[in-house]
Amino acid sequence: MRFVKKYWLETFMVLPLFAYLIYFTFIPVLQTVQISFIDDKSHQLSLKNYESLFSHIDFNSALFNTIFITLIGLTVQIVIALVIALILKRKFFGRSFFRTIMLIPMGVPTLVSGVTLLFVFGQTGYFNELLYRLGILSTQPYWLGGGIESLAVIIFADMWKVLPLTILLLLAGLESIGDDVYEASSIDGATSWKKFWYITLPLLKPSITMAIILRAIDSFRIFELPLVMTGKNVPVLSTFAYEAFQRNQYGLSGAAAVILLLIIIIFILLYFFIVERKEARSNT
Amino acid sequence: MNKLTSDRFFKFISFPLLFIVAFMMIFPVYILVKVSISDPREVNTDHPTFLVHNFTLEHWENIILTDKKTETGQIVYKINVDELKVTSEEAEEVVITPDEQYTINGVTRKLSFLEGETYKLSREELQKVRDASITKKIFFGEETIQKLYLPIWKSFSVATLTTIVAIMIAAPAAYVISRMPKAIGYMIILGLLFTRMFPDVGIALPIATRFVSWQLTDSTFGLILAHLIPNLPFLAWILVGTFQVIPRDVEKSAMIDGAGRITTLRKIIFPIAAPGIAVGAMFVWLNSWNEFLYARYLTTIEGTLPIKTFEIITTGSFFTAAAYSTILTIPIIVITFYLQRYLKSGMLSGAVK
Repeated sequence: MRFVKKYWLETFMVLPLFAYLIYFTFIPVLQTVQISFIDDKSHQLSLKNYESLFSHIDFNSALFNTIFITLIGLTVQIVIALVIALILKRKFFGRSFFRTIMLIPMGVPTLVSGVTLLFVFGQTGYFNELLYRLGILSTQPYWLGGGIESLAVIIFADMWKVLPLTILLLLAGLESIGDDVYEASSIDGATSWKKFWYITLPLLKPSITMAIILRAIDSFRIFELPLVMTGKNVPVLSTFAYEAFQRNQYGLSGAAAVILLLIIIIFILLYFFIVERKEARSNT
Repeated sequence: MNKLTSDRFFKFISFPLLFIVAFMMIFPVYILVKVSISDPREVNTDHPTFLVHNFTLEHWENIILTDKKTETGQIVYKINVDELKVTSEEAEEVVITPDEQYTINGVTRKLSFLEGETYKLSREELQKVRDASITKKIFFGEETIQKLYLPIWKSFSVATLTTIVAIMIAAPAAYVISRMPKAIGYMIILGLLFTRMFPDVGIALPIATRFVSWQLTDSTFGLILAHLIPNLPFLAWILVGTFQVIPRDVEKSAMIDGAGRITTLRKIIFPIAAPGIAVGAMFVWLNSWNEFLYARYLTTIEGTLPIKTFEIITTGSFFTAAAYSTILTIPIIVITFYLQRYLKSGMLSGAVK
């Protein structure tokens, strides 16, 4: 009670935020877990939703697609972002121009990037036309009809959207590496490749780890791009949960959301133990 | 020698690469604007053109001016010959008479009559229809016109009100968190970061059912409540950093001068933090302006601008969708370029959507 008396103003100031988060975030999450264990028809506790979830063909492909998009997408994104960041770190004519260009997709909403890439990858879209004019293809494949090529398109779309932020993050990491390290290694006679492999990469590891984990969490939650670009052809976990919700199969939707939640919790723990622990240690 | 070869290698490899990636970054944005200002014949064909040959503001007029719009935002055609026979991919014979009106979807190769039937055609057959088609416009009534400006207004008001409420709740809380003992503050900041990472589909499901019983679906108020869910922890997390930078000595000296705690906050702390709060507020506004998932869960009729854009794209009218998308994008491009220097690494997750 004395605590409240002394800190009444502070309590009053934090209370709305925590009340809101508890009532509109934590309780809903727990409710989702609860919904996922309740049978829609009999309203009793059962594992029925999970049984039908794992026997649902769409769910299995949604799980596969989500993991595939995250794994392959992240690899491609990090590699390209790293290469571009390395190039942009050097000083050359037109550097700031290219830096600005690289940031453009950041200003485009995810939904709009989906719409735009629909124009590009549609059957009579600009990508097919480009291939046609370059003489590579004369037929018009439909890239968004499902299968591995649609996943590739979604990976491209996701990459297009988040590449700017990844580049910025890695660039910040690169710029924090002092020039003296490179100079010292030059005197020792290290080649560019050796410098990259033995200096840049190890020193950049914290930035890369953080980028990978944060991006993975976002990538698992991917929703708009698959929904807009491929509709039901390429289900992912979020769109599966949404479709189930629309069909009023709340239990199924909840169960899918719980699976997604579990995956994300694993990555949150990874983030906590790998990134934050290290930062806490380096702070003290 | 070694340095020379590596520099040359850098030039020969990196510049083409840089150009390719830069092209990739610009190209879709160019296409978006291009589609929104080009003649349907340039886009709705098998071989769309890359440059704008016939510049037209038709699609923009369709959106902005009220009396020039087809009913569903699609281009409606009719044939200019007496009769046209085509065969669909399911080998059905389709006979088109001049009285019938239809829309053409060039991407899914679908021919849809306004009466309801839809046929999927092969490329050659679709070309035949296109060659014989002329545009027919249907004009709008008053009521439909209002429906066009409604999403923009709804998006704008929801985003603005969400921002105001978010600041009112998050700013005081962030200040207190920033003054807490280090270990506790650190745990809370991490907690806020993790809260933002929860899957939205998991939160939206019970929220949607709850809002149905509260009769908050389709309402601006309900959407504001929903948009606060991801944005409150986000804003609080940014603002804790802002308040941490302000030294405690500032408030102590104000107190010594006789100012009360509330006066110190109101007259000293919040004015100093105002630029930081403004940056956070802009991020929140953008997030809310773009927000799609909660809006989708909580909307049945009156959508926000992203929902409307999505609905238009699912009906297949690309030109209107392109114009809507451009409207949706403009504020974001402007604000993002202003905000880019304030980006922090942790914002990588879900900061700008």
